[in-house]
Amino acid sequence: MTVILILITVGASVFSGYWYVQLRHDTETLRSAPKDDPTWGILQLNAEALKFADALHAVTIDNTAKTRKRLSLRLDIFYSRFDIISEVFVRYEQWLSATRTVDIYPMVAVSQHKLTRDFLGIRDRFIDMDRDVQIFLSTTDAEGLKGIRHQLDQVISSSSELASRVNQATNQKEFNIRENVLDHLYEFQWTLLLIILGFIFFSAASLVLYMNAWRAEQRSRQAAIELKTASEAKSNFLSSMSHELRTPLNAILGFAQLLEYDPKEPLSDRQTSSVESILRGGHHLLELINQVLELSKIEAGKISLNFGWVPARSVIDESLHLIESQALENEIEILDHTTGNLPVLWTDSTRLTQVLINLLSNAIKYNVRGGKVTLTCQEIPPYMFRIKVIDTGQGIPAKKQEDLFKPFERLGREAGNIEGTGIGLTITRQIIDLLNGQVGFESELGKGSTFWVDIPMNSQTNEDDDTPTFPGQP
Amino acid sequence: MRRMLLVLTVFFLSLPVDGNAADPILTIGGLTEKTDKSPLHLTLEEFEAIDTTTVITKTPWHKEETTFSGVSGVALMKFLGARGTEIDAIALNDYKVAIPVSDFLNSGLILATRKNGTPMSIRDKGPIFVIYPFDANPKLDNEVIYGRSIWQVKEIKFR
Repeated sequence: MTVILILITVGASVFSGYWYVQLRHDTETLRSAPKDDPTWGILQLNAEALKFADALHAVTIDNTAKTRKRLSLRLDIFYSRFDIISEVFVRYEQWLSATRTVDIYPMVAVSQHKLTRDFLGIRDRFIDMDRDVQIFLSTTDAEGLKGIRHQLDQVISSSSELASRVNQATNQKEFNIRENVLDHLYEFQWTLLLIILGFIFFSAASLVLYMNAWRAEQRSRQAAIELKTASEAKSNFLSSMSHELRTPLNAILGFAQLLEYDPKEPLSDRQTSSVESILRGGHHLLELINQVLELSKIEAGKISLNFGWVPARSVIDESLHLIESQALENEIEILDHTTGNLPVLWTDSTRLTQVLINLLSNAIKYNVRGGKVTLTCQEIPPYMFRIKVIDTGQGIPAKKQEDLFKPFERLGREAGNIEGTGIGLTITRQIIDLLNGQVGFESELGKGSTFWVDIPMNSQTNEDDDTPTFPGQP
Repeated sequence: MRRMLLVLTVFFLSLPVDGNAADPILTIGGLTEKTDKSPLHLTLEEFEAIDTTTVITKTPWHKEETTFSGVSGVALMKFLGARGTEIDAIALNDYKVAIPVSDFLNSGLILATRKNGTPMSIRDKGPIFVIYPFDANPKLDNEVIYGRSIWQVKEIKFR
């Protein structure tokens, strides 16, 4: 489509350029054409010849000074006409050779050459006669008049013949030039029409393309609105469902705990085992519900964050403290390598602690028995602080790595004995996004995984500074 | 042949072909103070006494730059006390054109009697040739003005 448009435009431009040059040349030819018509000159010559013939007749009848004077005057006027026609013919010849007219109208040029030649023949004859008339006027000898009459008749007959030929040649020339100009004008008109049509076509095509783009944009905007509405509906549904589920679950867990520890009516070993199963299942369900609730809150944008300057040390210490029992239970050794002077972070301490616990908890859960979890940290200049959680688990297969942060993805652990909801990392990433940080991991199958979070920090590590500055933050 | 022509032309031009110098060459008539009652017949000498204005120009009939001198249109109208809107100019062969008075007043035309200082013979389009200053004003270069550039003028009439 575009290619056709470009071709039409270029073609039309080339055509119009060509016709412009042609018309330009036509204009020049017309402008420089001799503006006097040789036909008029020849007719005047013939008229003068007849007047001279009249004067000659008068002298023949009555050879007096008066008639001779009249003859002399007519001869002079007659003579002057030859000069004028010569000049017109000379100008025609010059014009024919100066313009490309000779190429375009060879017949005009050829007939013009012939006319000039024949005219010069007539003039020679006239010059002979003129000499004889001069002799007569000085001698007044009427003997010569007969010869003069004969010469005049020859001049008149060939000049009459020339007059009709000049007229024809002039007509032919006018016709040829007009036809040529008209031809070029017609062609130019067509080209112009083509350009106009091309322009209209181009405009229409542009309009159509624009309309299509506009409609597509409208559709995608509509789709985005619908998607947002659907997402909000889902979040609202999950939120209210979680509340509804939590209430009966709390009753189940509460009464199960009462059964387990009722000193008046102790349970049998079998009953205790069953109640423990109820409690374990119930707690798992409660965690799942809590996390779904959390995720739906985040997705609905309903969680509130309390940003502030938080020492990295305190967040790490609290996280380690909270994860201690889970580590003991799973027989995992936790190594804290985050020593030294740590920076202050611009973050929400509760949420960051939640993220760290989630990462540590995963490192413990998916570790090998007797494995290790190492915590390290580093500054990533200029504004980020990275905390790394390194485990000695089985690692994550490369082809499953990209699904890691998707909700309810447990990477084939759904059927295993490790408890998990599959949305912990999803929530982690959502929270880290809200904290203006980044989360990522590296993993090698069989050796373990390293998860890291980057959190904005105050580049000055001086904790005494009460008013740390952090660009881009409120 | 050409040389012979030239020799002959020079010979004839040297002859007093236009007759007696005392003969009137121009008749002026029509609506002017001097010609209300009867037309004015002027000899070359009398006509040239009115004014001498020079125009140097090429013309469609003179390829080389040529010096023409004679009576300017303005001076002639002043001399005659002319009225009217058009001037009929009539040639020896009875060719007649109407020249607007505005041309006489504004175009700078002259009624030339001399070419390069010499009076013009009838054979050389004399005795009077209406010359427009073509070189000074390119707008004059058209058929209409060519038609008004009458030569061998024998009579002018104001109307």
